[in-house]
Amino acid sequence: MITLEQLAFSYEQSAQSLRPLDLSIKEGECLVLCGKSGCGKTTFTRIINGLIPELYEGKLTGKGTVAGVKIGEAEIYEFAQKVGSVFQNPKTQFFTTEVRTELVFGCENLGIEKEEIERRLRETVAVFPIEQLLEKNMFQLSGGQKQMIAFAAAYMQQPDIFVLDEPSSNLDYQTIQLLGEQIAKLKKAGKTIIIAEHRLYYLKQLADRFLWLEQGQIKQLFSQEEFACLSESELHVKGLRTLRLEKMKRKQQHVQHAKLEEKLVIQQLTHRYQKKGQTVLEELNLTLSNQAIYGIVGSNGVGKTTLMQIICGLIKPSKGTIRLQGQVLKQRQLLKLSYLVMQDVNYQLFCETVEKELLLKATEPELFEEVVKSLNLQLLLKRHPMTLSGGQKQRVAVASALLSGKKIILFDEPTSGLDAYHMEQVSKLFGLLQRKGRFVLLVSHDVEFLAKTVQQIVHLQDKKMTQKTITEIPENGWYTIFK
Amino acid sequence: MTEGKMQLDPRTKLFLLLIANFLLFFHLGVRTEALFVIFLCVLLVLSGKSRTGFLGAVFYVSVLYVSNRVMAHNQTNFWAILGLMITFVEKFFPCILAGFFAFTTTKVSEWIASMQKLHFPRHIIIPLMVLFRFFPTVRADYHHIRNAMKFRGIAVTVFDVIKQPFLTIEYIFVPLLMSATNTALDLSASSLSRGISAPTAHSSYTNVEFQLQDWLVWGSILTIFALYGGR
Amino acid sequence: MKKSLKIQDLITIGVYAAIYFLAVCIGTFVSFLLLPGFSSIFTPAVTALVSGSVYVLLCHKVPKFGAITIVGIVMGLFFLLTGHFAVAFIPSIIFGILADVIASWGAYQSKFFTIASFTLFSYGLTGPILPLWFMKDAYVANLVSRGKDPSYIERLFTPINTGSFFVSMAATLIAGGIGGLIGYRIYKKHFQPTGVTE
Repeated sequence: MITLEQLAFSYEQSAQSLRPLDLSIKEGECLVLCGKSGCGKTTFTRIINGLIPELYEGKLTGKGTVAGVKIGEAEIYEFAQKVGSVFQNPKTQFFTTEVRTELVFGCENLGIEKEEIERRLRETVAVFPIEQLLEKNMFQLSGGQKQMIAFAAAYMQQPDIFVLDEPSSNLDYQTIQLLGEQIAKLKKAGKTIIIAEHRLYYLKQLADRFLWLEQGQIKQLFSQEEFACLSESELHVKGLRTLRLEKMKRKQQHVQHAKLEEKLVIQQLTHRYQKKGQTVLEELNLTLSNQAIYGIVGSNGVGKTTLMQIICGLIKPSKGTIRLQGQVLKQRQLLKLSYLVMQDVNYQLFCETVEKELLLKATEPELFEEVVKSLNLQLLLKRHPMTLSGGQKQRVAVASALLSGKKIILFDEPTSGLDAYHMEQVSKLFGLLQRKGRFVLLVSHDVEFLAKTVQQIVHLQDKKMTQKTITEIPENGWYTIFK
Repeated sequence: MTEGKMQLDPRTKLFLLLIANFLLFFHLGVRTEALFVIFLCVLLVLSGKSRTGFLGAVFYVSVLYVSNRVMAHNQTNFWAILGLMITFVEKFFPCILAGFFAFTTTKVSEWIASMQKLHFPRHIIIPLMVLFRFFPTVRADYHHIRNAMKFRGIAVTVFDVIKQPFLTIEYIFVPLLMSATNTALDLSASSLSRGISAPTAHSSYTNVEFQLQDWLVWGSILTIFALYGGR
Repeated sequence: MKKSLKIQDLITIGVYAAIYFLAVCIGTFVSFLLLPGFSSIFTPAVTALVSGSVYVLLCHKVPKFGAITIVGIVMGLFFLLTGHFAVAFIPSIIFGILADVIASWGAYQSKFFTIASFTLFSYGLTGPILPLWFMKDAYVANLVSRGKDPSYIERLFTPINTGSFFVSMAATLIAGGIGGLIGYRIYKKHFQPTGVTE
C-alpha cells in the first residue's frame, strides 16, 4: 500500500528533518509511530498525506508511493482521495461552522454527487457515535466531540489509508477509549492506518507494528508482541509513555514540604451561570493546603473551568467565601494572588525577550537570579518567547508568576501533547512550586501524568465534589476515577 | 427542515438587504418604506422570529408617529436636531431589520452555497468561509488574552488603557497574531488534506433553490415599488 | 501578477481578515465611548490606530497582488451579510483595490508604501459615515413634502456635515499614518528578526 525508498526530508525553516528511510506498509496494516517530541513522526505523517512538500516546504529526496500516488510529484488533492487525515488540535482542524457541512466538506471538494454524499453520511453515522451531533454548530462541541467529527469527516472521503497525527493529545480518558474503538472498526474493515502518538496504552492491542524514531531516524521496528514485552523502564529509557495504564502505580513521592503550611479554605461555594441561570457548583467546601498538589478531575462541562476561574478571581461566585489563613479574599485580591497557566500559553506571553517578559510587572525582582536558575532559563533570556518550545514557554510563564509574587498557581491541561520526557519535566516543575510554598492546582485528563504528580484528587460530579488523597484510590484503579 | 417555518433562498434575503439599502440611498416616500418594513415584519413572523417581527412593527409605527409630531414643530435648533435624530432612526431601521432577518435566519453554509451558485470566485469564497469560521475563535482568543493580562496586572482598568494605549494594543495583538499564524497553518493542513485544491468542479450538498415563497417575495416587493414607487 | 495566490494564502487572508474585523469591533466600541451617537465618524480613525500590525503582517505573509483587495471585498461582504453597515461595502472594496495597488509599488516590503497603502485602506471603513448626508437630505425631503421651508435646516446642518466630513477624513489620515508606524514597530519588534519558526 505504501512503499518508501531512501525517502528523506528537511524543513526549510527549521532544523528538524527525516533521515533517509526505507519502509513498506501492507494493506490493512496498523502502524504506530512513536518517539520523543521532534523525532520526526509528525513529519512522516505529513509525507504520507501529501502536505509535504505542498504546505510544509523543504527538501524532499528519495522515492515513494502512497496507494499508487507518487510522493513529491502528485498534487495534494490526489492524496485527498486516498488518504484521510486527523490532526492533533481539535480546535483548529474544522473548516466550516456546522457539523453537517464539516462532514461533507471533503466530498464537496472532490465533486461527489449529492446522492452519494447522503449515502456516505448514513454509513458514517452508523460507524461513528455522532448522530446526536449532526444538527449542531461546531463551536458547541467539546474537544472530544470535535475530534470525533474530524475522524468521521476523514471517513466520509472513503480513503484506503488513514493518517492520525497525535489524535489523543487533547482528549479525556473516555474519548480516548472511543477513539480506540473507532480505530479497531476501521482496521476490521481492512483500512491501512498510520498513527503518530505519545499515548501508547490504547494502541497496544490495535497496532501491528510500532516504529520507534529518534532524531529523524528509524531506531527500531517492533511487532505487537515484541512491543508488549517492553518493560516500563525500557519504555522510559526510550522516552515513551506507559503501555499499562491499568497498572499505573501511585507514586509516593518524597515530598519536600514548604516550611510553613498555609491553608486556603473554600466554603459554601455556589455558582450559577448568569445567562441561563443554571447551577454549576453547589455548596462546595474544600480545604486546600500548600503542602499538596491538587488535581481537579471530572467530565466535560462539570464545572472544572468555572472552579478554577473562581479561585483565580476571574469570576465572582454567586455565593461562598474563600479564605487564606483565615482572611476572606475578595475577587480582586484573588486575582492579585493567583496565576493561571493556560492550556495555550501563547496567550500569556507579551514581550520580545524572555528577560523582559519575566520582569514585566514583577513585584519581587530580587528573586530573578534564583527563579531563572531553578527553572533553567539562563540560556533563553535573550530569545523571543514565541520561538521557544511549548515546555519552555510554560516555564517562562511560571517564572513570571513567581516573580510577581503569586501564591496560588493553577494549570489548565499542562501536558496536552507532551511526550514522556517533557511530562516529567512538568511534574518536576510542580515539585519546585510546592517547595516554594505555593498552592498548586491543576485540571487534567492525563491519567499517567496525574498518577505521577498529584497527591490529592478533587473529583467534580453533578455540581458536587469528592476529595480523595491518592492513597485512597485503589491500586490498579487509577482510571476508575474517570468513569 | 424546520417545520412550520418558512425558508427563503439566501439570494432573496440578499435582495431584501439591497432594497433596504436602496431605500436609504434614494429616500423614497414614507408609504413605500412603511410597506417594506411591515412586509419584513411579516416575513420575520413567518420565519419563526415572531417576537422580533411584532416588536419591530410596533417600534417602527411609534417612530413614525413621533417623527410626525416632531416635524410639525417649527424648526428651531432643538426641534431640528431632534428631527434629524428621529430621521436617523427611521431611515436606518429598514436596513437593520433586513440585516437581522438575513443573518439570523441563514446558516453560513447556505450563504456559501448560494455564493457558489452565483459564481463567486473561489478567491472570495474561501477567505470568507475562513472569516466566518475564525471570527468566533478570534473573539475567544481576545478574551483569553484579556484574562491573561489581568493576571499580570496589565491594562486592567480603563485608566490603565488610557495611560498606555499603544502598549495595550501591542499586548493584545501580538499574542493574537502569533496564534493566528499557527491557526492559518492548521486550517490549511486540514482543508488541503480534504481536497480543497481539487481543480474539478466542487459539488454542493447544501440545498439552495428558488421556491414558490421566493417568487412571492420578489413579486410583492416589485409590486410595492410599482404601486407606490417614489411616493 | 508574478505569483498567484495559493489555497494556503487564501486561508491566511481569511484569518487576518477575521483579526482585522476584531480591530474594527474594538474601533467601533472605542469611538462609541468617545462620541456616542456620531461614533461612526471616528471609527475609521480608531480602527486604523489599532490595526496597523495586522495589516503589516499580512503584507509580509502574503506579498502578492490581490491579498489586500480580497480583504477589502471580504470585509465588505461580511458587513453586508451581517447587516452591520450595509452601505459600507462599496468604499471597502474600492479602497481595498487602491491600497493593494499602492502596496504593490513597494513590492509589499517598503515601509513607506505599506503605510501609505494602509492609510488608504483605512478609508474603506468610511462607508458608515455616508448616511449622515443622506439623513440630512432625507430630512429636507420630508420637510418639503410637508410644504415647509428647508432652508433653515440646510443652513444649520451643512456646516456640521461638511465639518464632520473633513474632521473624519483628516483624523483617518493622521491615524492611518500613526497606526501604520505602530504596526511596523510591532512587526520589527516581534515578527521580523527570527520570525515565528516552528
